[in-house]
Amino acid sequence: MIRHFALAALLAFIPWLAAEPNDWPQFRGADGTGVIANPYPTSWSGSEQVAWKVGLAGRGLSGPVVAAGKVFVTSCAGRQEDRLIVQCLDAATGKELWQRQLWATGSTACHPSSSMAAPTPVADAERVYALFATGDLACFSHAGDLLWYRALCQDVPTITNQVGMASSPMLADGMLIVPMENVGADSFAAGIDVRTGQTQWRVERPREENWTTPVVVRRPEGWEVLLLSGNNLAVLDAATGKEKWRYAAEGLSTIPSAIVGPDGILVPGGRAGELVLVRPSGDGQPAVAWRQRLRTRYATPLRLADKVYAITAADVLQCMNAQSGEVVWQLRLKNGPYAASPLAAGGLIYCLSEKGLCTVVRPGAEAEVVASNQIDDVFMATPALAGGHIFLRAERTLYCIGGR
Amino acid sequence: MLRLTLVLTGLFTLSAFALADLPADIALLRTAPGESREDVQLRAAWQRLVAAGPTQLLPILRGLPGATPRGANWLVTAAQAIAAREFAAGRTALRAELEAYLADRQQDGRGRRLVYEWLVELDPTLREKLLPTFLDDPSLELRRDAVQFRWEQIDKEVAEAERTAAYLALMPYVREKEQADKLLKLITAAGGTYDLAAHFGYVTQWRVIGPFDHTGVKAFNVAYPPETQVELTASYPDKDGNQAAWKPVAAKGTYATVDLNAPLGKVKGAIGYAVAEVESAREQPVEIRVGSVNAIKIFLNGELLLAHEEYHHGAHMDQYVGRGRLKAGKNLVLLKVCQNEQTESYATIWGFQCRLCDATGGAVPFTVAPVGAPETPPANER
Repeated sequence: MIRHFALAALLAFIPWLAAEPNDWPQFRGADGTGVIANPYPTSWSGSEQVAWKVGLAGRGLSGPVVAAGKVFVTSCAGRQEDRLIVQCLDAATGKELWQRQLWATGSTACHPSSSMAAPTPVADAERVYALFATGDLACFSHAGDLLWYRALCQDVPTITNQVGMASSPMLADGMLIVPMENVGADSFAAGIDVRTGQTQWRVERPREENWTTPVVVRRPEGWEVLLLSGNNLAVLDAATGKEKWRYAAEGLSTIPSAIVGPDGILVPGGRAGELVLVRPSGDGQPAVAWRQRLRTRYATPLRLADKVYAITAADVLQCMNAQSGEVVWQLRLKNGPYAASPLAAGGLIYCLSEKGLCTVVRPGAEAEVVASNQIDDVFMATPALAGGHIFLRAERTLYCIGGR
Repeated sequence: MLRLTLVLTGLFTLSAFALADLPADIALLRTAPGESREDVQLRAAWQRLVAAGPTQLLPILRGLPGATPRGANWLVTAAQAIAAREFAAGRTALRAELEAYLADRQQDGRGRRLVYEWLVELDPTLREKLLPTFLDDPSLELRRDAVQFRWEQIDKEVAEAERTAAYLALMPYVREKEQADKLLKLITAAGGTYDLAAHFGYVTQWRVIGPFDHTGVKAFNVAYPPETQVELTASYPDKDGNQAAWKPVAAKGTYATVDLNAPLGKVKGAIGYAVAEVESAREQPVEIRVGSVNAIKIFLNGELLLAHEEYHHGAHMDQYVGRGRLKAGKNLVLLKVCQNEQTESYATIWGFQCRLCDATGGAVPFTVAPVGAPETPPANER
C-alpha cells in the first residue's frame, strides 16, 4: 500500500513540476506547491528592478494571482472594511483594466492585523473567483462581467469567526474548494461548480477557528482535497466531497497549511509544535512516518527536492530531510516576523518578511544567502511568481519585480 | 457585405435592447434570493443592463434601496461596469443626474458614496463643495468625511482660543468612535468636558442576576427564569444552588462598560442576565447595539432581537445589533451574557457595553430608571 501510494503520488507530482508556470492562479501557484522550476529575479529594492508598482484600491492581505497576462488582486475599503474590491491589472504594465466593488453581506469583524481581503483569489483562463472574509464569493469574467455571486453568510447565517476568516479557496478540476470552517453552528467546506456557482457538495468540519488553505492534489484516479483542522486532516474526493481517509490527532495546525510530497503529506503542528509526515498504511489507515519538533507561526512549509523548509515561529528557516525529518540546517532570518509562505524558483528559496525583507537562499548542505532585498512596506501576502516577474503584494501597493 | 452585416447586427442588437424589459431586469436583480438556480437569469439580466449603457445607470442605482443583500451586489457591479465604460470614454453627460442622485438622502447610502467618488474623480473641486452638505447625512461614510473636512477647517481657520467651542459644536455630528475619541481628547486637553456615553446613547444603569449554569457551553439556548419573565423582586437558584437576586450595577468608563465579574463573581461556564428599564416618550425604532467578548442574546420587551454565540474573539463598539421598536413608556432591555470555560487570562472578561440608537448610530431619546447604589462587594472581592 505504501508503495502504491508513493508511486501514485510520484506520478502525480512529476507532471506538475514540469508544467510551464506562466500563470500563478491561486495560493502557492498552479499546483499549490509554491515551487517552480524557472529562475526568477534575485535582487531588487524599492527603486531597483521594479517593473512597476501601483497603489491598490484598498487594504488587504490576500496574495495576487496571475492568469492570461492579467493580475487579479482583492482589497477592501470603507469605514468597516465593508467595501470589497476586485481589481484586474495588466501584468505587463500594472495598468488597471477594471475594478469592481461588492458590499459585504457578512460580518466585517476581525483582528486589526487581518482584513476582509485575506483569502487569496483563484483565476483560471476565463474567470476569477474572489472570496472575502465576509463570505462573499464572486466570479467575474476576465472582462469584469459578474458571472455568478454567492453570499455565503446569507445562505448560512451562523458562520462566524470574529478574529477574521482567511482561508483561501483552491481549484480542483472545475471544482472550487471553499473552506468555511468557523466557530458557528455550521462549520463546513464546500465544493462549488466554477461554471454556475452552485454547491456540489458540502462536508461538516470541526467547529473552530481555522485559517488553513485546502490542498488540491491530482492523482491518477482523480483530484483529491486535503482539509486540515486542529484535530484532523481529511482527504476527500474533490468531485464528490466523499472522505477517503483521515488522520486524527490533537494540536494540528490551524494556520499553516498541509503540503504534499511524493512520500506523504506533511502536517504542520499548531500548539503541539510538531511537523508530522503521514501516509496511508497497509490497512488503509494513516501512519506517521516521522515527527519533528517545529513551532510554526503563519507560513506554510515548502517541499523542494528531498528537503522540507519551514519558517519557525522564531523566524528561523529550518531545513529538514523529507525522508526522516532530521534537521539539516537552520538559518536565522532577519527583519521578521514572517507571514508570507516561502516559495522556490530556480532552486532558490524566497522568504519575505512582514517588514519587506526578502531573503533569497540557495539550499545545499548549508544555507547560502544569495541576496537580501528590502522594500519598506508591509507584506503579509504570499507573493506570486509568473512570467519571469515576482508580484509582491503589500497592504496597499502591488510591486512587480523584474525587468520590463 | 461586411458593412451590411454590421448594420444588420447593429439593428438586431438595438431591437433586442428595445424588446428587453430592462425594468424587469432591475427588479429581478434587486430581489435576488440566496443560493438558487437563477444565476443564469441573473447573469443575462446583468449583461442586458450593462449593454444598454448609461440610460440604465440611474435606474439601477435607484433600485438599491430595499434590495436583498445579494441583489444589491448584482446591481452595484452593473452600475460600476456602465460608469467605468462611460467615464473611460470621456462621456460625462450623466453628471447632473448623478449629482441629483447624490443629493437625494432617500437613496442607498453606499450607492451615494460610490457616486460621490465618481463625481470627485471627474471633478476634484466638487469635494469642497459637497462635503459640507454631508455633515448630518445618513450615509456614515459621507458623514465621516464631512466631519473630517469641517475639523480640518476648524484647525486652519478658527483661532486657537475658540477651537474647543468649535469642536464641541462639531461633536453632535460625529458617529465614528475614532473621531469621537480624538475630538474628546482635544476638548479635555483644553479643559472642556463632553459625555460620550450620553452622546452615543449608552445605557449606564442596569440590574444583573446570575450566575446560572453554562457548564460545557450547553445553556446558550436554555431559557432561565429571567429570560421568560423579568421579575425584579424574585430570586432563583444559581449555578451553585444559592439564591440569586437582581443587583444594581452602574456601568463604568467612557463607553459604559458593565463588568459582570464584580457583581456575579469570577465564574466560568456561567450565564448572567442584565436588564435596564428604558423610558421612551414615544414609540420609535431602535437599534440595541452591544459590544462583548461573550456570547450574547438581546431581548426587547420579551422579544428576541439577536443571538450570537461566540467567545473571546474580541469586542468592539456596535458588534451586535438588535433592531426593534421602543414603545411609549416603559421598555425592558434584557441581555443574556454567556461566559465559557476557556482558561486563558484574557478569557476572564465577562461583560458588555450596550447603547440605544437610530440607524445612523445617533442616540435615540430615552431615560433609564435609576437602580439605586450598587451593593458593597463582599470582602473577598475588594
